[in-house]
Amino acid sequence: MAYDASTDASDEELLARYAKGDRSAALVLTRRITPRILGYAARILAGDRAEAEDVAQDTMLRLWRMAPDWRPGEAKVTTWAYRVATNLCIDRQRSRRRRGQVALDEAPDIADTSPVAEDRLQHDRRMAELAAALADLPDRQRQAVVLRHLEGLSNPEIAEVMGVGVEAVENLTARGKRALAALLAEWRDALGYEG
Amino acid sequence: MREQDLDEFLAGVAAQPPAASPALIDRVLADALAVQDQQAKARVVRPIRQSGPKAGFFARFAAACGGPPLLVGVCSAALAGLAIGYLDPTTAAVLTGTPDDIGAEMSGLVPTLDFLTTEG
Repeated sequence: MAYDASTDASDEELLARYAKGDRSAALVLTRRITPRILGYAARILAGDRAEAEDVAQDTMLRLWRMAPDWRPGEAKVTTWAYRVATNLCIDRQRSRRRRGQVALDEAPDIADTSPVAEDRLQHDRRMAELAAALADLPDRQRQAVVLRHLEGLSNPEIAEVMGVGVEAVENLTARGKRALAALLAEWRDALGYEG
Repeated sequence: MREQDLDEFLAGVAAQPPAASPALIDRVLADALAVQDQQAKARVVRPIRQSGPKAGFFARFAAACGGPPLLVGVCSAALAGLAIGYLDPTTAAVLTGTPDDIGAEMSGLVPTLDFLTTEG
């Protein structure tokens, strides 16, 4: 059975079909989940596109390997993937710190769908500023803010991804947003916001 | 920056989902199909576990002892040991082929070991 990317089948159903040898399911899952993990990793890793791609590929590889052992109903596939990606990002951040490298100089090189060049320029500038501001946040606050406000996860899902309680997620998100607002205020004029 | 502005800003960024490059999609898909092939081969090689009723205590005990044939051998040896221990020696002599009422003519043909213990 062939699927297009807009199939109504859930990620869990597709993963079960993949485990039974359905090659079309692999394609749909790849197109659905990879961009989300890539975007998340790029934001967590301060816009390092190459490392974010490695994290996305590694996360998906782990998903394929554990597909036969997936137990339906225990977790959402995307939540599991975000959790794996979070751990991989943490490993890479630690590795960077050990090497004394801080990759804050690159804006996220994530393609957008804006048809107009000016919009694209504005989007790229926002992404660069957001990446810089996010990079200044403590790791846990950054993860919480990105998962909540950019990836659209619910607080219980974030709690599962981060391995903390829902209350802790609320605290991290609130503190992260306050810090982010303070950092972005420096670029408020450039972003075109008032007040 | 006000909270409302930050929310708008974040919503604007979130509304433009990132696009993975075709090269990344190709790599991920190649991984998926390679892993799928490996798992299919593993399924063929791996013996299918029978999901029948659970074996009883004696069956598991026999299996732990090395299977029914070995258990039969062990039981036979045990019974033979008990028999040898309890049976009358006369009966045992019959079994070993040396009856008490052996004739004088026959006793001369049976070698003895007395010469080994006699001095002179």
